[in-house]
Amino acid sequence: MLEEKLAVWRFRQGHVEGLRWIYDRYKADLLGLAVMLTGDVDRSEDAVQDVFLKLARSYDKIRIHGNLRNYLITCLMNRIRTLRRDAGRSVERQFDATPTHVSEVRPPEHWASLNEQMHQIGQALAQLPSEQREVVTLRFHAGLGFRQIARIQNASINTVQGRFRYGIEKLRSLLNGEVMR
Amino acid sequence: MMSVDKIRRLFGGAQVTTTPKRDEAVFKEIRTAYTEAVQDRAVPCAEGAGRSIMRRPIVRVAIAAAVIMVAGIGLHGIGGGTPAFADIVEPILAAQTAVFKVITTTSDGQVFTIEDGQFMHPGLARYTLRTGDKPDIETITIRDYVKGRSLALSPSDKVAVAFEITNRSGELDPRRINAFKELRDRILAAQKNPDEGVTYLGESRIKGRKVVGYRLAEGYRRTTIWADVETLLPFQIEHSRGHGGGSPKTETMTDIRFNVPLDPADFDTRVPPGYSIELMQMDESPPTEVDVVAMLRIWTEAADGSFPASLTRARVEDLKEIAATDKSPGLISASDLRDPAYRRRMQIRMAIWRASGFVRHLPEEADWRYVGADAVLGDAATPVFWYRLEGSETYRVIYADLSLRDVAPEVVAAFEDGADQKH
Repeated sequence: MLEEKLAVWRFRQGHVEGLRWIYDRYKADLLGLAVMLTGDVDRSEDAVQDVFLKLARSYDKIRIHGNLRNYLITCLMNRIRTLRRDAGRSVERQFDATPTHVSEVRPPEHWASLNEQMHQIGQALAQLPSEQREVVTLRFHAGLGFRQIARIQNASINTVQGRFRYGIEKLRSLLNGEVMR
Repeated sequence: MMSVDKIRRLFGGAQVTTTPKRDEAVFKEIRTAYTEAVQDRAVPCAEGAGRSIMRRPIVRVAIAAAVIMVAGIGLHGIGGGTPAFADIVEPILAAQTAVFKVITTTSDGQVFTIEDGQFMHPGLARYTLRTGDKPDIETITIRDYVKGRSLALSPSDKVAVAFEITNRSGELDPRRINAFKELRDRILAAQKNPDEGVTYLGESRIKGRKVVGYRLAEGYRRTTIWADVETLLPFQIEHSRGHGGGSPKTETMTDIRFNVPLDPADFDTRVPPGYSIELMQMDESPPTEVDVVAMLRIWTEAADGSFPASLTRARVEDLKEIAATDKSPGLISASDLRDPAYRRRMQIRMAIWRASGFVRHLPEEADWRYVGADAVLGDAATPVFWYRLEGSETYRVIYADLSLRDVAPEVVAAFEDGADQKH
């Protein structure tokens, strides 16, 4: 934790090594979260890169309440929502499309590389409505509490817990027999 | 079924690794942005750059000295600073009146329309429009946003169409109703997030004039504002829509003059003597689900009972062609005014605008979805669209018979599954 505080301090003072530490520490974590939330590796790479770019450009303006990870997760959520809106909220759910990219074997020049579990969970999550997918992912992957998720989703804790229940039920059904055999 | 613990373990084992080569390439880009930002804060050359630095006393003195030096040289002279975006757009945001010309061209460079425009604060506008194929016939449109009236005149035919805005909710914000509304909205939105929304283009030449440009980007829209380097007044404004509905067009605003004296009588929305009159009402109440039903009704009636493939704006725009073979969206031409199908086209435009407005403004939590691609009008068992508002236990569902019902989430989940299987 002390190491992180030092890195953030350096980053805010304009030292590249602070930025490097943050990047190395959180890039894979954010990419994993983005893949689960979007079901699309290309868009996830874009979203995570955008988050780091914005962080870099506003290095002296950011106000981190709580820990850096939660701050970055919130930034990523906002970025993904913006991308989703920009995609026109297509009824065919182009942005939340079936995860063709998740299941593809990706060429080496790509940034993110997924393990088998990530492929499986990504495919299953992509079939959930976005709000349920968010809750389940933020709870299980990011380890956030329902209160924090409620704040991110701007919803009541009851609503968030309901979404979690529905999401888990659907995941149980979707993943049944496909994994952990 | 799989236990929750197993799902949790699956999440725990799900990992992403990054490839080192690409890792470095991505970081290089981020580092460049960071380094530029750090350097940018140290040199007060653009809008807002010095705000946080100015809080530090020693830097404040240094900046004051630098400002005096720059002033001595001449800010926009040789080696002068970059003209701030705020200075360039200020005349647009503050104009009490404006006159200009707008030339709309299609993607293949053909002139689509030419408009002479006049604006008067807070909400008066007058356009004289000519089309590329009939440049000698003009249509005059006068809009009074404050009174909620609009008048289209065809002087050659002595035909007038009077529009009346009904069901307006609340007072209109004077800034929003100003005739520069759309442009101003884009500028204001960009100013909220200049790091992402505004790009400095540097200097160029237009019609022999040395200009400096800024580009605003918002989704698929691009607006470029070129300002005269000497006066910093906007010289040419280009607005293009890459995609997202309708055929691609570029609007170029030229011959812009601000705060010129204009005659209020030119903005009179009363029908002049000798004109035959058509009256049309435009509903400005907030769009609802009923508007989606209305749009689907028009669509299905025009398309032999089939539903649109999607509810994207671009797709819904197709309704115009399906229902009325209207190949000139957004255009009010003189011949339109006499065309018996004109009123129908206006109804269709209104239906599209309201239905797409409703869908566009649904919150993320609404979890809406359109699955009507394969539906057939009259099928009371097939859902085509659903959404849920926050706090509601049930979803609102439009069925293919265009009925609206409240439906439990479990049922909608089954709809989701069915739709996913189809795709």
